[in-house]
Amino acid sequence: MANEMNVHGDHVEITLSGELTFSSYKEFQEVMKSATDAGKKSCIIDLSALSSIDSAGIGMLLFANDETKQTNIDLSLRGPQGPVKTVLEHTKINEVIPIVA
Amino acid sequence: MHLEASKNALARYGCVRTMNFIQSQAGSPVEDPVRAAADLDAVMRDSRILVVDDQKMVRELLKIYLTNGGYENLLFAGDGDEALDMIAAEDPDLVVLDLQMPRMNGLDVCKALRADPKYELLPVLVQTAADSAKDRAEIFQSGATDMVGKPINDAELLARVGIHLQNRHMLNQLSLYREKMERDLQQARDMQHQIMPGARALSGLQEQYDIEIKSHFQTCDELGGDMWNVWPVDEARMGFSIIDFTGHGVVASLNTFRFQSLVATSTFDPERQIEYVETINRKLHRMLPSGQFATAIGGYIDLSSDVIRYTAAAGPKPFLISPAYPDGAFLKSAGRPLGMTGDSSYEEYEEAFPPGSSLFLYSDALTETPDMINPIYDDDRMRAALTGKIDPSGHPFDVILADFFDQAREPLNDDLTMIMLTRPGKS
Repeated sequence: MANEMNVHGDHVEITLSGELTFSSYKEFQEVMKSATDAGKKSCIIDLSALSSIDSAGIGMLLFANDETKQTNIDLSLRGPQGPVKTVLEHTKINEVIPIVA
Repeated sequence: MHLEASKNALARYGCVRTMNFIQSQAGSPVEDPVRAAADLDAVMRDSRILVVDDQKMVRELLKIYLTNGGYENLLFAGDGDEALDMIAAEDPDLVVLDLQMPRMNGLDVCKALRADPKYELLPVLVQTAADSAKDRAEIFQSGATDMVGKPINDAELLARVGIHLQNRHMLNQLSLYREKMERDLQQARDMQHQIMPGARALSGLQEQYDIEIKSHFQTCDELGGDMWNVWPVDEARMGFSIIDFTGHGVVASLNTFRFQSLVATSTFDPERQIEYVETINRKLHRMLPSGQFATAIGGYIDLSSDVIRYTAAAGPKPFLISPAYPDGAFLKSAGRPLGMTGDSSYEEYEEAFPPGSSLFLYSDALTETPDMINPIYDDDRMRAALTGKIDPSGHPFDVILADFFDQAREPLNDDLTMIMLTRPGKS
């Protein structure tokens, strides 16, 4: 997995690419921490360049959602494609973390 | 040189600290470095050292050096043959070996020892005056652990004896620890198999409902995060479930036990299946750390109305073969995974399941091994294997299992579970 973080006005945007799996755990935690530390109102994780996600990856998104809730940051996901979109639909993640256009 | 000095020599090699670390890691109560050093001294004093030399005077000299170094448990042999006999009888912790001896020489003793797996790790210190690199290489090639220069210097001898005994004791500790872990894991694995239906329960169910039950359960580590179950609900209904916790290995397996305890204390009511699943989900959510969950499919076969009714929590799509779907159909299974959120709601699905129908359930290792981008086993392949397109003569379950392992690049990177429930056709 690779990631990029940008701050735009009142929100933070994280772009993930490659595979979000168990081995991405540390990197994902680090980028989420930086995003939280930025002290913005909301955080968008862009998934359009993500090629795959496994159950550990889903778990990380859920964990991030719980963490951001505690600091009153609105977390949302954007642009899942292909297999990632299928997995998110199958697990109904959109009911838990909003998926924005 | 007395004991204090030898301890210093050991400390210089960092042995005392390493030993303490290993013992702490192994779960021993030893945490205090002073006590660790004292324990170490006791272990050292207990070590059995065999001195092999054909000259009585050298044996006496080594005895004095070693005794002064705190080693009290000494054995002596005068030639190679006697040394091998004594090693077999007394099982020493370390051998100090001369090279030039009548009957069997030192190099041959080394070779004989290393040829026997029992003595593969026995430290052997060879006394030698050899100063050419070629001679030293020959000594190591014959299997010696280390050398002590002749004429023997007491400080050098004790330092080398000390460090090799340390290594030996640490290796012993590690292998004991490893054996204990393996025993524990084996027990845990047996326990894990016990929370799934046993052969007797299965044959009872097959007879009671006239349903053929085939299953395969395989973990990719010692323990796994998959589980499955079939159980009697009432005269006409047999329950089934397949569950896959996030991850695999020890953590995921602990979650299967958590789940088992939840299920064991809840009563499955087929008339209120959704409520049952939502209750299990709520309880599981409270038990599991954030980010852990399980995908699942569960339900029952109702023989009186020839249907299956099931709920789904994002488990892989079940595959149904029936008179209505001779080429098979993938059934709905989207839903929030169990334990993901406390307030998840679920739906119940119903499908006709008359005699001659088969339901195939599986964990995602089948379709996601080795990775999700290039699934080796996709929907089309599964359909072909299960509907006789790959091997019409074999049982579909055996065909898909064999075909999967033909394609899979073992070892698997996830746990694999497959079950197939079949009602025989009317003859």
